[in-house]
Amino acid sequence: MHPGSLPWLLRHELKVRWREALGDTKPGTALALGALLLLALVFMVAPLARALGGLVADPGSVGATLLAGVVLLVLLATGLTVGINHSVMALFERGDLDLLASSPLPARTVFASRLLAVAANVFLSVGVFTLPLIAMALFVGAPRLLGVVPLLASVALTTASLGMLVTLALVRALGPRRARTVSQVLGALAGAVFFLVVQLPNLARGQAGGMDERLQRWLNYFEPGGPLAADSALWLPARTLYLHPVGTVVSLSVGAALAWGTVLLLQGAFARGIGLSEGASRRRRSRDDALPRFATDRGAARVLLAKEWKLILRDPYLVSQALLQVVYLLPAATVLFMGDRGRWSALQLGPLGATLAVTAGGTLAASLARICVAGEEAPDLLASSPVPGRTVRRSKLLAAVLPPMALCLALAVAVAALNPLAGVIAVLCGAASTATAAAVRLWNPARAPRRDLFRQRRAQGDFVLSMVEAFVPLAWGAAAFTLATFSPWAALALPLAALLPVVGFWRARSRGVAFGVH
Amino acid sequence: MRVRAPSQAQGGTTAALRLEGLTKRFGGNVAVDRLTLEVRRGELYALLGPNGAGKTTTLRMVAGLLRPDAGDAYLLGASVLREPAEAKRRLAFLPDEPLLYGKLNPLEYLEFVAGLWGVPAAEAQARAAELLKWLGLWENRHDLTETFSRGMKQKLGLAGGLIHDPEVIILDEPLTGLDAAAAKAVKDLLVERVRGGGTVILTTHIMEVAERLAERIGIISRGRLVAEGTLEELRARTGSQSETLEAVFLELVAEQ
Repeated sequence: MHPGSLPWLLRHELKVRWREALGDTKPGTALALGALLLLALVFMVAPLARALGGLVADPGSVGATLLAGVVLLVLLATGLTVGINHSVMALFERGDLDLLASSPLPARTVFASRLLAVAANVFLSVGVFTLPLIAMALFVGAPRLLGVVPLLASVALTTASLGMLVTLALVRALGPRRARTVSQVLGALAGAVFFLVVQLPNLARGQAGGMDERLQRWLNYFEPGGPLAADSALWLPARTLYLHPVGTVVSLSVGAALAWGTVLLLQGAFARGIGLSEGASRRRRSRDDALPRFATDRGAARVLLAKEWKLILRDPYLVSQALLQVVYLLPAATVLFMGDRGRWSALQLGPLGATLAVTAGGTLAASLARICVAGEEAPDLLASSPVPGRTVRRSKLLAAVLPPMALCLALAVAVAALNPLAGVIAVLCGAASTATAAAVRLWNPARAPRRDLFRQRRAQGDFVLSMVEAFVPLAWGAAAFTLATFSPWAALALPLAALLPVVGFWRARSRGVAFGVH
Repeated sequence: MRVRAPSQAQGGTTAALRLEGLTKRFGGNVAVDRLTLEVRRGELYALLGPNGAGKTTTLRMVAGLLRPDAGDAYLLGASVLREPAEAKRRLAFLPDEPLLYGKLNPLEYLEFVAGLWGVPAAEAQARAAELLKWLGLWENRHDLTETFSRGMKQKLGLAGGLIHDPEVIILDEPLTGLDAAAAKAVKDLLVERVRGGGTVILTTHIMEVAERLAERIGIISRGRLVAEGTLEELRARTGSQSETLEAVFLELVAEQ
């Protein structure tokens, strides 16, 4: 491989990304885990394979076309999210970008290697979701489904190109720093929107009219003569899923052409963007010589609290990521709300609303605590100040707990209007959920750059504590539900919810770390 | 900038800093080995040593960032282990790479630091303006620090260290990243603070800085104090009266 060539640079990019992704995990362990995952999928997809067997056998059928269309849409949506996120990393994380920019390599080669690396990341990240299809293709007798591999390659090239286009367009319109924030938020929002769209069937199930009727109406569009007939050329890219020869050539060609066009179009903007990407935010004009009033007399605890909230509110990306953790609760929420064949009653809504309030509050508190604790940028300043460590910890806990508690309280008031007992339970369990979820993070003070708080494994810290942190809000949610429905399971759920933070405390003590204690 | 004399809360002959058998181990590696030394009030003391000698570890223990495995450190008579708040209140510790909050502007950062040290609002406000003007950051007072260069961050870190008017300032490589004008201003400031009765303890790899500024110099190697004294005393120890500090330092370290 010739040094400085595109393949050489691409190999370097992939090596770096691979090592970042692995973290401390040894390659052998990662491969073994991957093999185990694939094996588990083979067993899991066997029933799916039977259900879809007929469809796959006749790729020209309406059902098979619809399946291919859905797979393509899902891949495009997730690919776009990953593509935007990785474009931001490729364009703004300047560790090696300065080195490359100062080298004699042409900007086109550097940019092409970045774009292809983004595509590779999309391929691997989204590829995880296609493993069931690959497993079916390999082990359950549906070899046509190996078409998901070229389909994924095409999607990766397309979404990487779109990600780069969106990110650099934002750089042009907003300047590099704001572009970075906006594109990160866009990436998060794309994920949230996709997630909500996937949940639409669940949400629709609770509504009058039913899903079957709507589905039938949709299927009519796919009948011969319909606007989306199965033999339409529109479906050619989707048919790559079944290794359709023309479809495969078309989708791969479109992806490659889009990538090449993007490189040609954006190489200049990329070269200019390198020079811009750091330290070039527009300077705010000095408003006047008058100083804002200092508020240092309020005491260290309030000063700390104000600083935590100011830093959170000024980082829309982190706020969006924290809220996204709540959005991810929607599948569980929709499953709960679907109960009793879609008929909702005030009697049910009370306990369900309480469950949602408690779980959402705890999840949000855990995310905010992660920002306040793992994202602390100047721990040495705090540790060398005369403020006692317990005051620092208490302030961080309050900063993480008060906003979700307010949210929980608002939801609890709404719940109480339907079912007063459920409202009271929401308040009590919500307080416990937010406080304990945040406290567990305080005992697990892994540190990471703020931009990586929700995407780097090292920001999760100790595995046991991160698991406890994830399950505490769910456990309190279960406790709230069982209590509000007078279920005998409350006798199990409530002690479990109370026990989890104790496990976290015990684990933290055995490791001998907590925020501010070395 | 007019540098005020640090308030002398305690009179008498109490040492500004006294280390007694300070020890720190990382696994099997002894980073600081029963280190005992004393820095007098109102002097500028330079702690020198090769990379990995234990300078930063020592200073971090004094600042309360690391807990010693044995021994203790006394800041103006207050034990950093038993009376940490009292010790920290009178100390400023400036690490070589100041850690700031990217989403705060300099005024907000200084307000926050002043809040941690309990500086009254009016006093903090006036001192913040004075420090920012002196360090040439006044024009950037509304800019987020995430947009700052390394040198600007270093200056702001220094401003944060001075906002509460500490009696003892500990600086780890204070001139890293500063331009010539800022470096001179910092050196002048340190000298002026010492003249005003304050105590400055610094580490540096730039021997001329230690040679020009420090009244006494401590040299540590492998966590132990190998030599201490004025430049003349150190020269006398090596048997040469005309050598530079650099030559003396290299000879003393090589002996170990």
